[in-house]
Amino acid sequence: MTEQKLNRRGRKLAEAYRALGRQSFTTASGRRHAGNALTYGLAIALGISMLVPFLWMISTSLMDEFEVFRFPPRLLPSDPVWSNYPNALTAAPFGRFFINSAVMSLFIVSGHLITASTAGYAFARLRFPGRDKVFILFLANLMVPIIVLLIPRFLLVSALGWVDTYAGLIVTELVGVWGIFLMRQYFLSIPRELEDAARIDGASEWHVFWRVALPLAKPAIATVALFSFVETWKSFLWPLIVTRSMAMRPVEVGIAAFHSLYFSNWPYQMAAAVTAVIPILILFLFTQRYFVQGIQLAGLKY
Amino acid sequence: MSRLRRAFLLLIALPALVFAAGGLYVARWSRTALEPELGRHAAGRAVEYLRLHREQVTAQLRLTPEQLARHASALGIERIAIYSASDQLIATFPDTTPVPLSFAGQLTDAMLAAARRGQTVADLVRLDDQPLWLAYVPGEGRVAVAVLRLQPELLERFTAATGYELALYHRDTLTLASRDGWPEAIPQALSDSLASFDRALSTRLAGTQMTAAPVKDFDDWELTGALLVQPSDAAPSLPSLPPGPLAGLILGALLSVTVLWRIAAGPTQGFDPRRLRRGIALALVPPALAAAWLASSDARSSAQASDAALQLGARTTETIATPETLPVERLARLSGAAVAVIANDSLVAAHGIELSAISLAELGGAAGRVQAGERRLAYRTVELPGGTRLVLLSSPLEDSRKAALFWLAGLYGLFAVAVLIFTSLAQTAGSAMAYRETITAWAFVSPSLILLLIFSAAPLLFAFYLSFHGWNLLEPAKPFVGLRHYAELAGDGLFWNAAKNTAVYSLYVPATMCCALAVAILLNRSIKGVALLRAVFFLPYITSFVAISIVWQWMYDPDFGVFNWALGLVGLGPFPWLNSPSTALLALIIMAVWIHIGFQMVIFLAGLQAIPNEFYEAAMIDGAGPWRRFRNITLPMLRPTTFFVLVTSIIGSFQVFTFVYVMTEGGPLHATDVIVYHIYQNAWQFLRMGYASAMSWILFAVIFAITLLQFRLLGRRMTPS
Amino acid sequence: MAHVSLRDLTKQFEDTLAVADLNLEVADGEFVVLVGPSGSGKTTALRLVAGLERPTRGSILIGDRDVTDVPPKDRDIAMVFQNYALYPHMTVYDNMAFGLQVRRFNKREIEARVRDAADILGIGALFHRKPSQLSGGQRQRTALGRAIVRHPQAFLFDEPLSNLDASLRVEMRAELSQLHRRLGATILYVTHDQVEAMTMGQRIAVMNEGRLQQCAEPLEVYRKPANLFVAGFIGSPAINLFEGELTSANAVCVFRTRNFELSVPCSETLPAGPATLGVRPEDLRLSDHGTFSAVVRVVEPVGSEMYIHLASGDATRVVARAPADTQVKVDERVAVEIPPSKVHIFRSDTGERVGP
Repeated sequence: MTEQKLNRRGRKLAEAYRALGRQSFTTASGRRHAGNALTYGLAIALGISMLVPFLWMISTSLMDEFEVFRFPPRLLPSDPVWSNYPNALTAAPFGRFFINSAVMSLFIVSGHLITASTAGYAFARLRFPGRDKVFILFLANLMVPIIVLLIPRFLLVSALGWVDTYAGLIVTELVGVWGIFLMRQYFLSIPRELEDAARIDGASEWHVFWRVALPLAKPAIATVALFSFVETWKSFLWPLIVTRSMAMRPVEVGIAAFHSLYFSNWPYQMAAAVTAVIPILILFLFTQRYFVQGIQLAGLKY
Repeated sequence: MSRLRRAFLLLIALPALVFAAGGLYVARWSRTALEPELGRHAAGRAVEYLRLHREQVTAQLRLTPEQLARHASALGIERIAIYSASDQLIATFPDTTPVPLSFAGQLTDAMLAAARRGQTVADLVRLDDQPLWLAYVPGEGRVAVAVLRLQPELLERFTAATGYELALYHRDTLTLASRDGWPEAIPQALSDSLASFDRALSTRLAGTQMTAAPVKDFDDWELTGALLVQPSDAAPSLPSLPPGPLAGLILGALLSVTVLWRIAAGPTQGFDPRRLRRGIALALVPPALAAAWLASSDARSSAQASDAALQLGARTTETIATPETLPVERLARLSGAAVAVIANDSLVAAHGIELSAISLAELGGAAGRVQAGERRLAYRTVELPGGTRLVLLSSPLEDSRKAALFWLAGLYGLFAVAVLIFTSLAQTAGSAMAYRETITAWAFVSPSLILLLIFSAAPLLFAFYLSFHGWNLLEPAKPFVGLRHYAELAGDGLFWNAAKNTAVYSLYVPATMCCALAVAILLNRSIKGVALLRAVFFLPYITSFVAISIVWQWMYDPDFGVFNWALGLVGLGPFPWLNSPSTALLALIIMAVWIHIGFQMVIFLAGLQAIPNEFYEAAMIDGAGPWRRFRNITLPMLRPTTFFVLVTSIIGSFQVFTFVYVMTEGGPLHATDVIVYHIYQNAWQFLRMGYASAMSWILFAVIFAITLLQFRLLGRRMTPS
Repeated sequence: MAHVSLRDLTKQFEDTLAVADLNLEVADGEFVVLVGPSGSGKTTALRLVAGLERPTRGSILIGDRDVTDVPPKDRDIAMVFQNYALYPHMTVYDNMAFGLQVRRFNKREIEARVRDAADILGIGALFHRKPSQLSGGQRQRTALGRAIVRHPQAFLFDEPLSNLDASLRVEMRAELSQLHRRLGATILYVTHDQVEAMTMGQRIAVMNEGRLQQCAEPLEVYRKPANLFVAGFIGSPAINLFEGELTSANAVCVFRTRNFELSVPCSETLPAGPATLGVRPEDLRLSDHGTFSAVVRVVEPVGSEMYIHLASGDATRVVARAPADTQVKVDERVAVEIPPSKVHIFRSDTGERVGP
């Protein structure tokens, strides 16, 4: 609180000096540095407070079963119990959960990439009768909350005999309208001349798409891939409904089940939670630029 | 070859191939192909049967030793030992050889741990080279360890009920427990395939009539053995697919393809009477296909009845009961059919149907059709030990005209897409270039379009249809109820409670927006490490929501959680958080703020960066202070962004589910029961899918209205420019 | 190489007529420049020839083949775009080879052709660079190279020099003309820059509002503009125009404005009535016995010569081009002479040239 006040004061001062004119320029920049330092401090303090749940998760995951039930709570484990991890991870088929999530993500991300790039390209670049009507139909899809579709989709999937199979987990999710929209926007931003040049160079429509438009859309493709991966990895409700056996559950549903099985053993649960968070965390650290880009490009969904 | 003909090949040849594959699938319903299918079902039933038995027995182990002694032989308990919490042997029965607490080489750590935590566990183990169930049952201050024999009677009962013989294997020893030592030898195919046994599915053993199903341990993970089934002499006879419907299906497919071909080849300009005739012919194709399908459903109906009978047969052996005390009502609910019981050649009980409506004489065979009053019903009988027969009665599939209607609608939908594509192509057929572009475009768009129609558009309409029907997964009758669901919703206190909770929950949106805007302004500068800081704020949003829920539930723990501890340091609390109806929703809102702050911050940052710096510089020269600049430049310039964030976040908040499911399950006392959770419960826990659909349509209407309002207010056109 | 003919070519966009009944023949090996202000339809015409737009009406022939409904890839033409349209994700070599690769030429042939083109253009050392690592001139050359390797029936140029700086533009202009001679190529070249048109084209086609105004050799266009538009568009500084009345009596033709009178050479085509007289700035003379008198407003010395902006009695603005050593002062009153042999006369209503 005081930091914030100070910071505001500092900025005010710096600006006052700036307004005064050039003679006090050096002082002003000095003050601004002070203001920046305060901003820094505040931002870092807030940032750390955002991390508290994550830190608490890691800390608890290393405590022993009884150490957690202590008041006042210990912030750090007295003696890290690393065996919580192997124990928790073998208490339920976590390997299988991860495989399921991976298989699901692989297919859904590929599906999204294929449909988003082809349909997005067609809507951005190809002229055909009925294009705008079909596109509006696609967009209208963004307004439909998933829950409305869930019951009929479930009935459909169970009629096909796909409950508790990979097909059931995957088939309903293959098209991402959000991705199509994003790809369309991106294709629109690529100079049309490049495609014209390729056409004149003798490229067929497919070649124009595959050899010119698609390589140029790499950043958008990366964004779509990343978002549909995270979305799939985090998806919960549909996998919860469509899987029955432990062996078919993806990570999210798996740790939820684990949570209800081991509800009193917090270290185990935290170990499981840490394990579930890590893959996405690593991915995010390396690619956070694309996340921000994606949200800003078409902050439609999410 | 004309262009349209070429297009036809491209756009129709593929679907036609799919159709042909579908036809092959239908052909699988022929007699020889159906049999393994039933075998697989039988194996699945057998697994369930043994699991039920195991549960039933372990439940009994909670009895006192005296009670156990009385029931032991009936339950198939061979040996039992009861230990105190300090591992002291208290009693053994009936054998003097105690069962060791940690059974050498048989116990997994996980199993012992589970038993110690108070869970009942039972697994298939090897004892004296015999496959046996070993059960651990913790009681008050004691642990019972029991060895259960698979009694021959159990196997016999299964065979009598289902027509399938049953054998049990233990995977390490490959030894058998079965009736009369069937089969004589362990099939080579089984020992070969056990190593790579599919955990989820049963497998037909090559070259035999046997189907093997996996047996898993107490937590459904480790594979401990296999169950083997094979049709006995009393196996139900299989219906065969009449050749008529199959031929009808193939003819229908051919007809539709031919008609489309003719249309494709037709002239593209002007009115042509031939086109009208083709149009009529086209419209006739779906009914033809539907009729063929209806005809074939007769056979499928019988097949389904056989499956239901299998299920019922397995279920009836759970309890040892006289014909009079059979839980008819429960059986009827389980099988989704009406049930009648025949004992000593007379009808003794029924559920779901009037006893007087059916005549015993008509129920002669194993399966068939019977006239019951005004209704024609499909029946299937199940033989129980002691000459008792169970009869399942249900509406035959061929009578389910509504399903046929959906077939029709679906076909017309697909045809509409085909016609749309062909119309579009025909419009550009005048120019080779335009045509090429159009055909490429449709090749690019149609996969997405068809998937969307099947998995989004059709379900949306179907949900609407559902909301006017009683639709319980287990009940075959799906009556039309008109607006009754909507009327019921109006007076449903729990629904309004959920709506209110959802609205309250969405208050996190304005709260988050204030925080997110402040953070965005704080981080909207190029200082070192700012990217990392932004990432930190964004982090909760992309990580696993389930993991986050678990952590926060732990932090909210009223006795040992960090929140109460931290608040206690400043003299506040303790608060019950998730445990009290008055604070639970607030707890969820606080967590939601933490999660969404980063996402909104990113959007606000984009908005802030779009404001030209000149405005601020001009204002500074005019002498405006930071607050004035914020008030008069930042806020007005951010209005579209703010509005966008507000609307999308509110729409998102209406759909919250994961947190509620993991942390509170809607409780306590429905204090956190939100709409989507309420819908989920109604649909998948109470199985009222029609009612749940009505709720979901109301949610859809609200969200749709908000979205329209957004477009209207923003004047934002999403149509292509 | 082949000739290109456009016949009654019309392109209608939703509410605008971009190209109207365009008839144009480009002979085998000829360099024709389409010139006009922006929005005149010249680029649309070029895109129609390329096949990137579909004509509403009319036909296009390349060689003797009607390609009106042939997709661009099968027209066997090459095009150089204003922004070069180099594929950013490919190297210089791949950019040049792309057209041959998609046509499935064998590797050796591709390499030989790309090397040849690179030698002509002097970009052999840049093969492994990406377009973003090239200077403007190098990009221009690469774009040219991409067109050359194809050995197409005709080349289409869409304002290829407009993104270059002035000195480079002059250099490339000469180089392009040289290239044309060397390859003997059929070229249709679009530009809004009249200097490019005059210096490079064997013939110039001037377009305005979708219509072809005049198509002739550069000097012909300059000396005998077919109408007011061409007269005003070609020539810098622009031609001086005077509104007036033409009378002809007894084989004496007189052009009369409120300010002055001028007898002009008579011809049979010269109709009496409202007319516009045009005279190029270099044809105006400042002399003692001028046609009319005017006041010097601005003097612009450009080194080799000077442009003198004048205002005549009725405030008509006139520009004269004079030798660099001419002695005039601002606000000085001078007499301006219009030599009757150098005038162009147009009908005021249609703008059509009527004489001499």
